[in-house]
Amino acid sequence: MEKELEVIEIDNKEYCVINEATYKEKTFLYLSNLLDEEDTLIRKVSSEDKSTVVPLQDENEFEIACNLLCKNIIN
Amino acid sequence: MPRNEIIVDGRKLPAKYNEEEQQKNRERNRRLKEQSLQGSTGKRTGKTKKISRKSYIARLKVLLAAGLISSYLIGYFTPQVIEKFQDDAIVGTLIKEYQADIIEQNTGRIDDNSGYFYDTSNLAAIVAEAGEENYDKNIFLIYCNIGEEKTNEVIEKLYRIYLKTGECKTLEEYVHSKGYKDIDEFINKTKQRIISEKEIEDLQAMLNNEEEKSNSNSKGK
Repeated sequence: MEKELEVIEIDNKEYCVINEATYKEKTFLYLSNLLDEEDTLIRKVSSEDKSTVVPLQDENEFEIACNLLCKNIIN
Repeated sequence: MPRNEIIVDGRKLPAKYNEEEQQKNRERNRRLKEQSLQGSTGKRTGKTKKISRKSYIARLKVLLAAGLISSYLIGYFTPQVIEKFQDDAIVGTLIKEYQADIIEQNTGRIDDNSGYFYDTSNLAAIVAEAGEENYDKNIFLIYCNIGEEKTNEVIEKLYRIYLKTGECKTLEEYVHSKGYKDIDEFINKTKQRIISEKEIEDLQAMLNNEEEKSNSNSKGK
């Protein structure tokens, strides 16, 4: 059985979107490198352009994104 | 048996597994944070690719492990809660996967669009084809997705059409025939089995990695 996932190119590497979560109008994408399972990162959908994903602003935003991921998967 | 004493291929996993695993997760967390705060932007183009369910779960687990460590460090969760979250995530992911891959493929609209129905005959066929050793897991996943009433229909058809014994007509009769006290015990034990299977899979992969490293080291000498 296979899953069809959205793919986003960042720094010339292809990442698949493993999960997506929204909190207070911020949407976070949880990404995994197609060629390296251990290479993961989180990006945020830009508020100015919904088709662009940008790095997180600071550590606080990173913590929010991590907590959201946990709650999103478990629920 | 304590969870860190699972035996794979007759070999006991090193006792320091948990410690090593925690260290690995801290490193994953550090890398996840670094990569999430730095680097380039990307464009959502709608491009998609297919990956296997096994690969998806492995990736989800890496992300979850890295993310949970972060939550743990700021005091939201105890290690016991983290372990439970990881277990729930494994089972929850399988239930969602089963819904997408099996249940939705066997759900149809009633002609006048007033509702929908489950093709319980086909679901019974899927359970039969999975083999007796996988009946519990499939029936558990069907029950979690479509509830007891429709699962009863699947079981009735499984035994009448495919096994031709008519032995069980309901989930309750099924769980009793398999030696479970009640449906709750069936649910809990099947969940545990799913989690153990995943752990064994992970440990097997870990042992294989160790063997590969050991083989490449001995070749290098």
